[in-house]
Amino acid sequence: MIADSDISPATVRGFHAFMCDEYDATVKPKRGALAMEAAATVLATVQIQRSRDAFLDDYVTTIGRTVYVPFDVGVDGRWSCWEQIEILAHECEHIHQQDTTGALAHGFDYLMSRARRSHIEAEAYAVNLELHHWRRGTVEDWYPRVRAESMHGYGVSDADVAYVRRFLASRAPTIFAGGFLSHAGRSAIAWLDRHAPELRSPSVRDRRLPWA
Amino acid sequence: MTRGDLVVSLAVAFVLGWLCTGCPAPVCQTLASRCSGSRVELCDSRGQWTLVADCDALTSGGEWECGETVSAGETVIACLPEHP
Repeated sequence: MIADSDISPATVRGFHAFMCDEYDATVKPKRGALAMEAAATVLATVQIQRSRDAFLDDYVTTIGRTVYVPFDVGVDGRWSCWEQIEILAHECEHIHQQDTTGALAHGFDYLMSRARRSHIEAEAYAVNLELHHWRRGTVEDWYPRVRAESMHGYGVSDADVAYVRRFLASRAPTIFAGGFLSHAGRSAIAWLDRHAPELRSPSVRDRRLPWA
Repeated sequence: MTRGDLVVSLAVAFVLGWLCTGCPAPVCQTLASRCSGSRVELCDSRGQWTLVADCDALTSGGEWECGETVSAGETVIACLPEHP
């Protein structure tokens, strides 16, 4: 199996170009972007983030249709090439959510309600889940819990984290049976199947689905 | 009424509207789940039913139905392939 770090830069850049075109998105470097530098200062000052650097280096942030990333696309580093693929699909699901509910309502929900923010992130984490399954051929029992625990960095309660875990655990059997529920996951996997099938788990490729 | 009064009234109406819709009365126990027709629903931390999946909206493969199964070590409600 090709290691995450050995995925070619051309594959990552091709994927980013496709998804940006599909979702009318733009990817920009996070460091140096005025809005992100200002947000980093505010979030660190009010202690929502532990430091400016954590916000600028550890998180991808989408504002409107612009995705601010803390990595050079296609360059393996703190963010592996596979993580760069997965995170863009995740962010494109947020753009799809905005298009579905309206940007204003989406932003309002995200900022004003911890429960709604958790639901919005759970839907986007389900994209990671679909891609993880496509790549690894399985959804490990720990996966929903570990993904959900990253929500602690989003200012939500323990009940919200448990909600995200259970949401992902509920999606997993469907994904394992070959069903896709997320918009961006479906788009991403269609592209990857065509352009990078060598990254797909053999068990996914060879699995006999119930209707096959 | 001046323009300033109008702006303040609208702002107050907006905040009150949000307060009314932002804290709805709980209708379910957090983390409870159910099948509602073809919909998989999960109760969030506000005690409100949310949509996890609509089995009728699944486009891949054959027919799907809402049902109970075990995932990640717990019993969950999910969209499952319909038995022939």
